[in-house]
Amino acid sequence: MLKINNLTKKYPGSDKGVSDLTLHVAPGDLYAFIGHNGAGKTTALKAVCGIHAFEGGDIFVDGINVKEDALSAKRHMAYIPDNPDLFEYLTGIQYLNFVGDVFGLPEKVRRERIKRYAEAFEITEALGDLISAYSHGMKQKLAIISAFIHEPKLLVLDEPFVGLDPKASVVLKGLMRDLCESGGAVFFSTHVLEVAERLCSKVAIIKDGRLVVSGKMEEIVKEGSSLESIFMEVGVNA
Amino acid sequence: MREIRTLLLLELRSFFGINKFRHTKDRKAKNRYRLLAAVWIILIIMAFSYVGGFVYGLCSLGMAEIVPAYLTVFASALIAAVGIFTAGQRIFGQNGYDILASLPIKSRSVVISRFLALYAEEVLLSAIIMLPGITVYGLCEEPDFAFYAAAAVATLFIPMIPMVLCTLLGTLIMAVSSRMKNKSVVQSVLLVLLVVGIVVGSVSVGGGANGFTVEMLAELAQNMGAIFQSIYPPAVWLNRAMIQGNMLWLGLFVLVSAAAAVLAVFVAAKCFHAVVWRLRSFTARHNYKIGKMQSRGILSAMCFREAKRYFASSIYVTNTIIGPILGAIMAIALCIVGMDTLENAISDYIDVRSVLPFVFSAVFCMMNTTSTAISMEGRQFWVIKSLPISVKTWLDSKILLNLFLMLPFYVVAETAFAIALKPSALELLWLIFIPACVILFSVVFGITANLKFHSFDWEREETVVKQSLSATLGGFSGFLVSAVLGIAALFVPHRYADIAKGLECIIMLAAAAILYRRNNAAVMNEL
Repeated sequence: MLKINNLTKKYPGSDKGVSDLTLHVAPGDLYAFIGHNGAGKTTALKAVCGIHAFEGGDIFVDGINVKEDALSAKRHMAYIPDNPDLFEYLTGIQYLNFVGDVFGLPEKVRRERIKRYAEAFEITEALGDLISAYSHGMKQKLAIISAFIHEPKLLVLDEPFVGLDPKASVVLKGLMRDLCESGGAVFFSTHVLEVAERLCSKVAIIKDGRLVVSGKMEEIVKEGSSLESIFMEVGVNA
Repeated sequence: MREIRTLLLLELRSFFGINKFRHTKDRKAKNRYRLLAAVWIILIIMAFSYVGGFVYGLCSLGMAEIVPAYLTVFASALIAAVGIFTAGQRIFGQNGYDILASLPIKSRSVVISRFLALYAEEVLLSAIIMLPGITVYGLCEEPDFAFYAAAAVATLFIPMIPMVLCTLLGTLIMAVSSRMKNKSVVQSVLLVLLVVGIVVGSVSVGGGANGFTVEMLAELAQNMGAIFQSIYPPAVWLNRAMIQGNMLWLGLFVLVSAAAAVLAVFVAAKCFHAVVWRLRSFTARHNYKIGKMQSRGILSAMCFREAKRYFASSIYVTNTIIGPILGAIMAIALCIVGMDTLENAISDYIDVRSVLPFVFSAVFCMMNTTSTAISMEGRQFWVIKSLPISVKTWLDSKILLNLFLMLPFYVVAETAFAIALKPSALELLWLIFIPACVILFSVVFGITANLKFHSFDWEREETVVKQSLSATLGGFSGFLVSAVLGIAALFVPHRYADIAKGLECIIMLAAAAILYRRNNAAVMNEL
């Protein structure tokens, strides 16, 4: 579903970024991407979603090269950033309709899906208000709904649980599992290692722009160990 | 005092992006700032030349005694024109409000520091007018030291009264709009009405409605003292102080300016928290029920979003809609004054009908929306980048919005011109076609300029809309093209005039087409 081959991305005037990252996310994978602050997680995620250009390597989403045909690749995926700066001059429903228009969702389909997800996240009544009036958590929920309404094959999230209330976190985890069970994949970064350990089938640890560990959760986190101790061992102290 | 100094330093750090220039490691960003500085230096040199030349002209005509008054009115008008759109936003801006409000800082200190920061900018504007003017006057008239001392004090105090008026008006507009649901739209409407009122009012004061001749203009210049006394008495006080050496008038000017500044700060500080709180609070009804949804095509959806973005920012609206409004007013004024009056006045010097399309274009195309539309995406640009939206659709929506905004004023203006000029078929063709070509070119060039010189991490919209390189380059492109083509048209023999105009239109359309294709080849994720 997602193939990152030798991805290299550096910021001008800085040595920060990502170096020679190779990582594959298969259909059905719930893949956690963890690393210290400034390790390059967001850089890699944004390169996958076509938000950042990158100097080296290739990224394929559902077999489509992101560099060569970004538009087609974007039709198969959805991205939720860690800090959802949305269009504050739109109401919630206007924003969702905007995303629905971009993906060409018929009116009946988008209405049903918006209704379903808005009720699940309990923000139906706020959809008529300007996004500028939303709290951080409400904006996060709106961004999540906008990602799910067009039923992407690949969901890319950057620290999705930050700012979400506990109930919304449970709902989101359920939606992520459902997406994977229906043949899609989820690739997300998080600092909440307990959630990653319980939820995910695979994990990758990035340190200073380089991949240090990747693979199945059950192979990396063996009996008696924890993801936290693995992370401290290879992602921080190594 | 320590509080005010600390806050003022914070404000001054964001002056023209100085702090970002100093600390950024991005070479491209640093070069953009250098280029912007170079453009501003060129503009300042041009302003120096214009003011210096104007003063030299006045001195040569034996009207040196009204130079200080002219300079004062000119500087004050420029400061007011700039400040009227920004003073309210600068004083009551919400950037960093949460942090400031949580610190043990008096709101009075916040207001004073913001007022002083605004004052520092306006003193620069004042100096741009006064310095060359006083220098040329000094060379021509060789005044004594008291003149220069008075001029130095005047330069420092000239900004105060216009700033105070702008701050008080800005406070009033902010206070009124903060109680409304659509705050930005209300602010935009009030500001535009204010500016239109000032323009129409100033034309009436100048006796424009009664027609004029060149002889009357000469008489007008002679009578400027009386006119200044009626519209802006402080200009006359300064004139008396500097020309007659009567420092009591200077003292009066300084006293009134300082008192006005204290009053403005007092009023703004008194209502600071209330206005900011109301501006930050939003009507959240929390009663939406899911019903029928409206679906659009991608381009329509993008245009809708672009329109919402535009009208959500009062500074974006007021800075860009003034050109079309003034263009329409110009045409309506011509209807009222009558084409015959204008032709009688200046047809000995200029073929009015021939240059009118260019003059109209120059005014109409001031500050288009496209020259800052890309930067205005700001920190929300990731949404567009992450969605399957082509560059062409994205840019087309910005072009379409600009054209859509101009259209009603263009139609009104062209109708008024047709009534006023009663043009021949060919004259009507050029009257319609030349401005249309200039508009198309300037709108597309605005995109080109903003693609090249963009910035997404701004804190204040004013930085993008008024102070950015793309706003300067792209926004004045229509004006410059019109000015160049209009001057060229003056030198073409009459029998070739229509051919020349046709060629100019073809060149503009071809240039617009080439730039349009180049713009659409941009790669979004490299921005």
